[in-house]
Amino acid sequence: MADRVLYFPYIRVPENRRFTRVLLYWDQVGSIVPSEYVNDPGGLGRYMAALVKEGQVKPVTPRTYIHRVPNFAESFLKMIDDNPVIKGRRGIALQKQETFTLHIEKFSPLVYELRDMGLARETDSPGGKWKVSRLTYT
Amino acid sequence: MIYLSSVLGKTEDLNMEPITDRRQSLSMCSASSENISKPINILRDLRMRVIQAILPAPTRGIPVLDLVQFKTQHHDLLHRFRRHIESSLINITRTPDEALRTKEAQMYEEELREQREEILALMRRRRWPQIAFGAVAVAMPLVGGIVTGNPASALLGLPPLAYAIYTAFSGDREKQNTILSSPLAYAALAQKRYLTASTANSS
Repeated sequence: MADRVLYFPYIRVPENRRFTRVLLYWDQVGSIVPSEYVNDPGGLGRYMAALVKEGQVKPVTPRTYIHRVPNFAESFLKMIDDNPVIKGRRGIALQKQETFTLHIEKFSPLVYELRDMGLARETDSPGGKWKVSRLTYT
Repeated sequence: MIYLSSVLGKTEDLNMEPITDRRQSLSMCSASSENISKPINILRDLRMRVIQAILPAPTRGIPVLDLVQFKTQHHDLLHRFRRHIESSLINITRTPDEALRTKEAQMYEEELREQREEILALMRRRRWPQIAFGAVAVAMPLVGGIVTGNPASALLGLPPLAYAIYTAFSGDREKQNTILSSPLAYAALAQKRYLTASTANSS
């Protein structure tokens, strides 16, 4: 049985009553964060930085772990490719803004594959932000 | 995103279960009826309901250092509490009929609330120290001695405060053990620590 959980989809954990209970129940909560925040936890906000400092929240940087998953990209892309709903939204999802903004590190290197499929595009804003079709955000 | 969380969480170093507060984060394919009815997803839903029903969350929040102190001091109780909840919920998850499962889960929640309130009542009746946040943790090593029927051995070397707590309960070992050995002790201590009785029901 796991003693810890991994929060998603946001980088910052929520500061609300629901999450307080989650913190009370689990030993530790992980949160997927880009590596730039590991050296600058202040950028995560005061609440999350305090939780990280005290070991209640563990920043999980994808690049540290993804390479340990043998078929990470292949399995994801096959799942996307096999889904007829997602297939039907290629190109359309971006046009219709059916998207989610995320940091490139959370999906790298998959964002480039998704871009080629018409399911993701880089935004103009700095900091590696991409718009990704909500349907692929599985 | 649930893919990334699930895959990362399964790596040996992390061993974390994915959790989200946004249903929208589940894409159309992962939120299909087929996926929702998977036992692991049913368990996650039930668990979140129970956590929200049983554990307190003051509107003012809990200072991080306070939270750390509480969880550290009651680490063993937390583990026992979680094992109890997980095991019961896994059993409920095995009920195939959704309506019956929902009913079972509701009854389980009620049962947990009742058990928590019974422990709180016992704490009040036994004048569980107001400073129990620290004191109970100090007193915890006593339990082993009491359970084995050799309290004297457990008392050796205790600070005066722990001794005072022990003596406050002496002669009523059964109630003391009921409090400290109940799987709901952690929830009751959290309730006592973070919510007053008058606000407990509004949480």
